[in-house]
Amino acid sequence: MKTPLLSVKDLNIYFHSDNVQRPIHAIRDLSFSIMEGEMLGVVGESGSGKSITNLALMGLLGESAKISAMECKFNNKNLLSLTQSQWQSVRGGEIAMIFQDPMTALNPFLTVEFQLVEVILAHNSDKLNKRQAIDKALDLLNQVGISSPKERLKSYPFELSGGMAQRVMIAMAISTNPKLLIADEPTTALDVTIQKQILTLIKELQIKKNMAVILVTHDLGVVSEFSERTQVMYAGEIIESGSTHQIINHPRHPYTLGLLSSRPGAIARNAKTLLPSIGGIVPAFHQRPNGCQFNPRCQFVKADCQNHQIEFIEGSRCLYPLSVALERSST
Amino acid sequence: MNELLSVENLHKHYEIKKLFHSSRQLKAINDISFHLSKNENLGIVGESGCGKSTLAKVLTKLENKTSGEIEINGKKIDLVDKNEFHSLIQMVFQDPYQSLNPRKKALDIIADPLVINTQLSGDERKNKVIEMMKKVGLREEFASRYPHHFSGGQRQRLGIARALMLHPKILILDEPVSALDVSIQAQVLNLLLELQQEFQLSYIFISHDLSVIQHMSDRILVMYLGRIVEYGSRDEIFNKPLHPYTKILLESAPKTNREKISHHVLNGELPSALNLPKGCAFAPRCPIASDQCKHEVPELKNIHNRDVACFNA
Repeated sequence: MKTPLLSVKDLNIYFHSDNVQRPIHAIRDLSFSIMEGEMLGVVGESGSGKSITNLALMGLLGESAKISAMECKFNNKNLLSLTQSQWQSVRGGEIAMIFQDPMTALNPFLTVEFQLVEVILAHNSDKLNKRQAIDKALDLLNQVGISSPKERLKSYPFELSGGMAQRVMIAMAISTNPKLLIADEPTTALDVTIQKQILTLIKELQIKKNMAVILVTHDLGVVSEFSERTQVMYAGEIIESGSTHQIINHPRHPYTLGLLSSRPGAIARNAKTLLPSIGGIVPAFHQRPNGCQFNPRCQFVKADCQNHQIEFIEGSRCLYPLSVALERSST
Repeated sequence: MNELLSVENLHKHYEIKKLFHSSRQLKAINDISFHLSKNENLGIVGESGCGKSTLAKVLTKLENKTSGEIEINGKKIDLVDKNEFHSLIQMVFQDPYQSLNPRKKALDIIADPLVINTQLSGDERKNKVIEMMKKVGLREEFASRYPHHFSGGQRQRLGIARALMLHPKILILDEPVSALDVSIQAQVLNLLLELQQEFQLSYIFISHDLSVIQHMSDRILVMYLGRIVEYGSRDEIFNKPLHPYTKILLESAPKTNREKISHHVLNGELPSALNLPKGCAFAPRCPIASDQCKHEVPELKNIHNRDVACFNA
């Protein structure tokens, strides 16, 4: 068997704060892996812990975070024991990230050229000089499908549309040929037509560069089109994982079922009828319930769901996994 | 009469002035006509920059129209007095984090329309607010809390309660659920459907999310760069879109149904409204554009029970 590019076993993240007595347990026993060149979809609402996990993988969590894991191995390196200087080459070099809002991720005072060249020279494995770095920046803009790249190099971020700014972010991310790209809600701020362009671009780059991609989104539609494998997160845990096809058509966890059926247009139904919604909200980190994290909102809850912590077995973290087949909508 | 709102040949142009340059016109809304009946939902879709929000602002008189007629409840919009106007049409805004004053308590936020438009005493206002809060699913004790105590979904409920205080007939919803999480979206959409029954409301539902539009609307108006490209009933448009832009929009929406996924990607981006193409505004991105499209602007014509602005539909 091939060894995975990234393998995480029982990752736990705690936050310490002076205001709370016990540390906040943000991420619980997270285990997943991703192979070289594979795209993994991660679905969850706000507060599910998607972003904290990503920041931990990038070594960007601050002093207040305490990270522990049985294993957190990337490309034969233990991410948890890297020194700051070792992080410098991994972060942005071997693992790159693109963010939700491209407009706030770019520096508004600097040109696209300055920002791209800065990244290229910072991770300068080919020993390029400044002129060569500018040529490389131009080539990168071409690769991400920006029209008239020469003029765009001189542009400031406010002169770019949201879609173009996200392409610049992608150009920056792939400038170092990363082995893993983390795309944290890369299209949430964009229109549907531009969303499709950007996701298609990421997919093409994934295949062309044999780059692994973690695609984080709240939209099950996005993962079902673009990733083969998906995991669903809720309140700091992975509650379901498996092939995207399996999860979308035969969800085993009631939360996944709820997400799918509360999505308008996902399931055949008449217009202007009530949607089967999940009541309540995702619990805050310091107000997590006992037992199954989803039990207060679950429509199938039973007494023992509230008593003990639920293990992750056969693709889902549920004592009574469902066996349903969803009826697809025709449009 | 059944028609609550009718809009004829509406235009909204902005004058852009720049030092040392001659002023230019930005045509945000270009010749738009539609109508809305009682209890009906009109969905408005289009990409950002297509004029959806400008339309909402003109309809609520937050912006003045350049030309055209808007009739509300049978009267011309300019002739309706302010108090009456506010009790006919109200709006719920997109971002529940920015549309509520952070220094005001929920009670005062929801009571604002009553303070401005009625002579009710403080106690009467409070009773009405509490009654409305219950209807939108907020508990009575929330009245003394500030917006930052509420979650996104609860804030949007506050916004809805505020809009309903004067019992309007028309509610304009400008992307009311796009800032919310998926599971909360469904809660708010359900609330809107229930309130529609209870208060006999008509909605103008603005969204870029086609699945939300499909679920909420009776009729749909598709906009591109300030113009209507297709306008018709929900079923006609979703089952058999005719305009190439509508088709691509429908294909671009992410789907969970794998058989329906199309790999067609629309190239290019929305051109600037300051620099409109000469012919059909969509022609530069259109897969079936002909020579005629590049020189003439297509008129809306009725084909297969809906209006389409395309030479090749």
